[in-house]
Amino acid sequence: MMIGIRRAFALDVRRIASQGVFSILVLLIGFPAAIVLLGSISGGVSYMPGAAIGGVSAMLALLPLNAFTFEQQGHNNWMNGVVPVRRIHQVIGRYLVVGACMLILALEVAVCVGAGMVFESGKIQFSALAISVLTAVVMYALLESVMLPLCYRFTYQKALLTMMLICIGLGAAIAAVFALFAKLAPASIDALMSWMVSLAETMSGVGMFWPTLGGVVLAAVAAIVSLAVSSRIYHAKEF
Amino acid sequence: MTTATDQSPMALSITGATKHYDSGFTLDDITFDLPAGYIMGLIGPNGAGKSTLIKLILNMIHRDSGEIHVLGLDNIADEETVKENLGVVFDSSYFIETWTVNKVEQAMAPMYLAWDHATFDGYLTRFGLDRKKRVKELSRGMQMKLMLAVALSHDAKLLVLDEPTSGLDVLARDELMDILQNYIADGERSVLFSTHITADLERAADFITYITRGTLYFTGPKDEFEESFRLVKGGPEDLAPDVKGVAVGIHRYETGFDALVRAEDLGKIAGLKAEDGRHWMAPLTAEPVSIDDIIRLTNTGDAAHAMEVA
Repeated sequence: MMIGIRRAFALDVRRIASQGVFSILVLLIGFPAAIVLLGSISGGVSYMPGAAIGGVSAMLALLPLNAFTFEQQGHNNWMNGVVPVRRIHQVIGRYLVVGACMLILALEVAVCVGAGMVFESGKIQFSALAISVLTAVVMYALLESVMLPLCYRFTYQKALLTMMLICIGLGAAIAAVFALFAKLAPASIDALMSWMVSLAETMSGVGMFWPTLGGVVLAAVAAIVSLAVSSRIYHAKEF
Repeated sequence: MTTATDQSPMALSITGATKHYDSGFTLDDITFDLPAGYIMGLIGPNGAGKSTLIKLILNMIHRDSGEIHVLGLDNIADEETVKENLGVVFDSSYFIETWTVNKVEQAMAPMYLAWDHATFDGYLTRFGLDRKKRVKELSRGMQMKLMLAVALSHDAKLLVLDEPTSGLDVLARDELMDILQNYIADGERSVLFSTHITADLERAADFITYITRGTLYFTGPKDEFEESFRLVKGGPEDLAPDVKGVAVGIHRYETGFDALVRAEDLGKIAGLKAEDGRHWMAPLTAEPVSIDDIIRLTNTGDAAHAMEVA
């Protein structure tokens, strides 16, 4: 089993690095390097870590999905039928690539936010740094947990479009619910806001353990469900 | 040959393999064996189901029923072991176009326990493949050779080739047939290759499996395939009901007709018998057939009707 997963992982890494490892490394090193460079010149700009996290997250979100784009080029998907790797191992291997990208993301966010803190205030606030890393990782896990099954089901372009439509639809639905409540029961909005504030205060009181655990559990559940769905879709696929 | 092959272990054994598509095409109840140490040609017209069958062997598509065993192992239950022992060549390259030949090896070598760098290197030299060249820079024939080099470099016991000669010139086809002949020389390795080019079969195949319209028409030794049919020829007026009754395919043209008849049915055609003791009065002639004749005549409108009736 482990051999199959390792082979699938290695093959996907080769696919992702098809255009060259150099460009990927430049992008990965580029964001922390830019923070350090700009920070040392200007002495700290508060928006920089946020921008860097956005850039790194977007890049690392798309990076593992490149395996799908290469599979769809020519007949590269036939390769999946040639190599001695079971379909389930191919799926697990791809999720491991996402896991590896998630670890890189955690490292990149830690470096970018940490550097930003050093330039801004001269010291690192570890709890704030941990929250930034955790938030980025959980958001990343949730996003990829939706994207991967979509990519297994549809073409890469269609999956991206579907994801965009899901995001727009979710945003529109939330906005509509808020608008409806604001019109029909304005007090409920205030009640929701005060509940969220009290929740945030409670969470800050319990320290890092529970939010971390909650985030990790949420990401893990999303990943497991996503893996199960992707595996089911891929097993039914013919190529 | 039959006695020898009966005792051979099977490199490939397909029993009742069936695959139905929503389009209406069905690969129906395909059964045949390929003994170890032999080359089998898989033939049939476009859309007959050859590639479907190869994809079933590779578990790239799901079969509706039947069983497929490679080297005695179930192709799904023992997929990894089966594919360790399979070398595969398609009619189009399955490598990423931007990969260099070198990267192809870097990607494929970790896939196989028995990968042999020296063997791969030897085939690259033999085929004139430059390690620095990208896949997209290679001609179709060279891409096929690259797939073949990969297929031959991990000690595969069964080669499965889907139209491997389609992009090759005569010399390269000749070289490929030599490679296949050498490959099976140890008596343990086997080859299944689909082709449209029947000259390749004449040169290399020991067995033939002929599929048309998703149905198995013939499987067995190549010589039996040609010997089991005769080509009956006659003028336009000679196409009598007894010929139509036994013909498995008829091609009519202005000056006469060609009818494909099973050898054992020849006796049922009155027009082939001499009516006079001194002179050959028969208006019809029966000639040996080529593989092309069989494919051509079993895919005429009459042949389709004959198959439906059967």
